[in-house]
Amino acid sequence: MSLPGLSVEAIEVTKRFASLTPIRSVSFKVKPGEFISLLGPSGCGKSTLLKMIAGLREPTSGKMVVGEGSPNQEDTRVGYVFQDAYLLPWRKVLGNVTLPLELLGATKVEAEFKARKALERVGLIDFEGYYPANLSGGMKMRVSLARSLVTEPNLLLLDEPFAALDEVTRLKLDQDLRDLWMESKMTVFFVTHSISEAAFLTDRIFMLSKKTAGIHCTIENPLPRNRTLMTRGDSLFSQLNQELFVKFQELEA
Amino acid sequence: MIAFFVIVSLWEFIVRIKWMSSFILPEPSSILKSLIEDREELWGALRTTAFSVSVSFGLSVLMGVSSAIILFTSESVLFAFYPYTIFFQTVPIIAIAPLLVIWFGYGIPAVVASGFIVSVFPVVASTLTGLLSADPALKDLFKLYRASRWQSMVKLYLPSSLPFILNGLRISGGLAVIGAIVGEFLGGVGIGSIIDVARAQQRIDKVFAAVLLASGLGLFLIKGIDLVSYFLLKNWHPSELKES
Repeated sequence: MSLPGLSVEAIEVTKRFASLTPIRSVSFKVKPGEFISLLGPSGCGKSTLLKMIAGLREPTSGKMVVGEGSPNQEDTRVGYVFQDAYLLPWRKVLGNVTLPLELLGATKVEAEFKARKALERVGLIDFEGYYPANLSGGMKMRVSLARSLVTEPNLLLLDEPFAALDEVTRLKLDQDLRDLWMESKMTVFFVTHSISEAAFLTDRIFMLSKKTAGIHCTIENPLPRNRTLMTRGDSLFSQLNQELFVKFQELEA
Repeated sequence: MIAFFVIVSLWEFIVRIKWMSSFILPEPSSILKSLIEDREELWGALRTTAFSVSVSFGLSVLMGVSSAIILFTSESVLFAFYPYTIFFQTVPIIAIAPLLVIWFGYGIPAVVASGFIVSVFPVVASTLTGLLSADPALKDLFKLYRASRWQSMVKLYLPSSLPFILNGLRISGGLAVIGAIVGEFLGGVGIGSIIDVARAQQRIDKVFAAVLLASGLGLFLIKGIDLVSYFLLKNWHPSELKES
């Protein structure tokens, strides 16, 4: 069963690389079940922040608190979608989706059952026997999404997942993601440099700045919870886009 | 095929008209004659050589892949032991072959050792490169799901280094044949021994016949590896993927 979403709190988190400090004392609090986007220009540390939330990288100083404790505790189920699909090319679609469950020690039967369910959700059930080399970019990304969902995560992290796809596919996947989130209780972080994607998808938008190496501002999304393709034609949507665009300009200036 | 006939006919012609002595370069027809007349001796020797080559190549694959895995487990192990594996690459086999005969005695053991020494390094080096080239994003993925070292090795590192390993095997296969023949010069068995004896008897045609069989053996081995490679990689690796 799907667990309630996780709260995420960053306390004065700083990440330093040799001569670079992409993240400098960032703090925020995210409630269980929120859909957050991290919006900002390239190189502002969005992905680094996401990796720290996932527990894949340790902050140089400060603390990232996921759920009650550290990101690696038992009922913390993190799903992660990379910029590219990053499938195992030697495994068929089904094998790629069962992978997380295998690693967590599920039986083959259980893993395949859940993987098929996840593939059904992303509309690829007929392709379970294909190798990734025979899929289109959009399909690979869907497999990647199915792989991240198969563990029924309570925290889903996406790192510009649809950036490399064509416009139509991307709009479709944005919609799917929004619907998926509506059905579940999971907390979602979505990294993007696309203003309209952030505006359509999320509840709150954290705007990251390269200059201050932190969150420049937080914007509440005024759009209704239920969003469809029609939402994109809404005047509220264009206003939000406008507002975000102005803020973006400030960052770059 | 046409090129082959042209070259062979030209070769036969050059020797026939005495541009070149048949003691230096025997004509193709006499090589063929030797292949037929000495077939029993050559065939027996080929079988011995093929056996030694298979054993030394098999050992190289086994030892090469497993030592690369051990070297890969920690940076300090790699730092401490990798230089020793390079020894195998740089050792002049012809210089230590007599020692091998002293250590292992005449016959097959010395030959296997010689074949192994020259063919193990490419396997170690290519496996190691493969293991070290696993995709960082995939490593993160495995870390995210708390994969054990064993799971990561079996499900990530080994499969992703497969193309590298197979490439190493192609190089190693040819070297195993060369190493075994050098070993046989001194070990007194197989094709190598026939080459040595025939040369002493000025039977250059027989030398060529034996060399031909040795290269046939190498070719057979490498084609075999190509076939294995095709079946292992055909569905996913760009080197074996067909345009569709």
